[in-house]
Amino acid sequence: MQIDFHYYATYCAAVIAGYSCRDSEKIAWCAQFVDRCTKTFLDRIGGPVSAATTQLQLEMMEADTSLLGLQEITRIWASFHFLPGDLYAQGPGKCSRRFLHKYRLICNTDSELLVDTVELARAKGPEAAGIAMHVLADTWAHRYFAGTPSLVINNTGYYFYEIMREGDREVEKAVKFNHNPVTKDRPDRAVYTNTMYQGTERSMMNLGHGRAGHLPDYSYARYRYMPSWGGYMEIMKDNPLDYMHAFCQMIYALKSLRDPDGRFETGHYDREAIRPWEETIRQIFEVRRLLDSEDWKKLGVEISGRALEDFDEEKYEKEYVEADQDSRDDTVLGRFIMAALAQKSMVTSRIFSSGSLLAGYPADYRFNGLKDIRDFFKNLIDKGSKK
Amino acid sequence: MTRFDRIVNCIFGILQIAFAIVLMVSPGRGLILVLAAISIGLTLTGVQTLIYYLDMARSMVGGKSVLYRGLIFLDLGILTRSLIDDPRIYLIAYIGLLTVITGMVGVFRTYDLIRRGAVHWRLTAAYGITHVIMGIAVLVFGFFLRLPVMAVFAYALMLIYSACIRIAAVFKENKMIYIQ
Amino acid sequence: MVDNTREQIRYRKSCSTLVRVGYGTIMIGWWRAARYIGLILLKKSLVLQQIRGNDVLSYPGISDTRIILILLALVTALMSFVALMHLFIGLSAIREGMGKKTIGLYIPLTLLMIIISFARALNKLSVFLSSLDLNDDVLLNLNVDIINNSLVTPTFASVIIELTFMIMLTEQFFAAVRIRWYRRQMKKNQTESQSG
Repeated sequence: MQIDFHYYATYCAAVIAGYSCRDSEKIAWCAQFVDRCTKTFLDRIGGPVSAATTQLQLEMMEADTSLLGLQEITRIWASFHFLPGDLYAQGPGKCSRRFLHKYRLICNTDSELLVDTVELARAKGPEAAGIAMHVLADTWAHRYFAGTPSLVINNTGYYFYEIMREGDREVEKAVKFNHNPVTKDRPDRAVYTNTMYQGTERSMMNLGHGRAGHLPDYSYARYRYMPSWGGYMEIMKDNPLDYMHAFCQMIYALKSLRDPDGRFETGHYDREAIRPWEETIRQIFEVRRLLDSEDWKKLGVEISGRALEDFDEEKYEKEYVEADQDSRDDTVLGRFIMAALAQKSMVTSRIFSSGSLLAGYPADYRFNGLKDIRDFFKNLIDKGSKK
Repeated sequence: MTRFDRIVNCIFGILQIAFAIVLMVSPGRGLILVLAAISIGLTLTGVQTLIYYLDMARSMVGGKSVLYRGLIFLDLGILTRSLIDDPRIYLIAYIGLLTVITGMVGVFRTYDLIRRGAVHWRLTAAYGITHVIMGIAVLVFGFFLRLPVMAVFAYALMLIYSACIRIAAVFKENKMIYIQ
Repeated sequence: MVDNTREQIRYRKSCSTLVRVGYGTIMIGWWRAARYIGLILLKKSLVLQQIRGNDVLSYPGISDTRIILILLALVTALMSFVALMHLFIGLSAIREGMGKKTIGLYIPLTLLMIIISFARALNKLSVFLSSLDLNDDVLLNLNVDIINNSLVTPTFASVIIELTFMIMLTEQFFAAVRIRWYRRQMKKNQTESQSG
């Protein structure tokens, strides 16, 4: 998903769920910041680089595709953007162990991992809630793709059709993909940019939904295609419907987080809460536009009575940089970083427990001599000893 | 190109230049070495592709094309090996033809890149066109002018040019897109 | 909106196979043409030996160069036809796989090519196997006398290539038949549902 949903829509959802405007802003900021918190940024502010929740294009270009490099890539993308749907799924017929491990990383909605993600944010403040909402929203947009570079899972082919509305009727158009980074997507002509075909399994071009371009992130898009892992099965992706589910589920999740005795469960969507604005929200999802930030902003004013300021990546940077080492974790960025590390560790741990080494070793494996997230563990030990 | 790819390309470029020098110093022996390297490379690529098919790609939509690709590389590798004992003129012809075909693939790839709106097609075009010209030069020198040593020299020059392009690409900025 | 019945999945798999194998057929055509033309150019002396040694085709009045040129022209013409046939079959398969209308002639032509490929593979295999049935001296110098004395060199590699191509064509044939059958069934079901 893009900034329009992660920032503006999340703000609306938080207000509807009953959070104050101030907390809703923080939740929305943190939800969007998951797409900005890179190693480069953390390095610049003196934060732990292990807490990176995304990678810059430049970082991806330079990324090492050796085993260790791939584990790092998978940890980031599977933990925050492509949460695995079922880590114990049966493979599609007869398949090798290696294929099965990658197949199990396919992102899907309403998973056990999603429950763990939301519960991890309980009683941790708006920063952790923001991260959880980003992960939740992305499970709807990025489903059927995996957060690891894999040709056999993430590839798409010529069989890709967009369903468009022309007047009263629905027409199907074959999607044309090009690889020019300069040209913009043309939704009116079903012409979109995607990553180039690379025949190697571990190429970064085969990470996530790159081969499908930005289509999964456009709320208006309805398309059908054959996923590489599907055994020639066709999948219909209805983004307006999925995004509506994502929005309603976010409201339910945020309400559950506000309740101290609450427990998040999958399959629940708070449709009642959006009734006064349902038609407006539906129209936002249906309009064929690459970004809906303005519409969400207007809705935010209507719901909360005040305008959400434009997203500023450096909003809380000064607070973090100027704080002394002992009190950094109590700043907004500090709490975000701790929550990100916890999320990454939890997902890595689950993937490892399922028998896969695609995300490497989790932090709690430290006791056996091998560890992964050094800084997180160091922080935990330091905090523990100080207490 | 990743950092690892840049290192590999650099090493490969240097090896190509080394091969070219060996070819110029001792054309007969150098040719066998080149053919052996091509044969090993093709065979290993074929085997690697077949292993990948058996391990992963057979569960993938369109995975059969990986199988065919592996078989074709393996076939070419075995075919190349079978030519090593043939008279030198056949080796020159084979290498010349292979170079022309590699160049044609580069030219088609350039056309595909331009059609798809990619901005970084010039290197590919230069690579393809040079290979075609040099491959034709090798064939012309080898057959029509009956100057096999000149044919080998032409091939060696092509190897050096190809190595320079490869090393230049290592320092070039990547202009590919990644969807985030 | 999506149809994931077993028949539809098989249909899509066949379409995908046709498209991929179609490209392979075109490539194999060009490879074959290049190989035979190259063979004439590379083994001129052997070709001349075969022709001059023949009672009917010896042509004493015509120079060696002229014979080679005539042979080259004939082989080029024949190989161009072969390559064009491969191109026709390949393009038809690709078009059929992508759901476009195409002439069904490519299907019996594919069957014909399978038979020819099978015969060629058998022939190459038998010649190759019989070339191995030799004494130690010749085996140690395996490629020297045998290869230089034969016009066409049936190496192990060419047997594998021929078998690979045969398998590809067989897949193409069955995929094409399956697609046509399935489309006929779809049309029949549509007509039945409209009249019903």
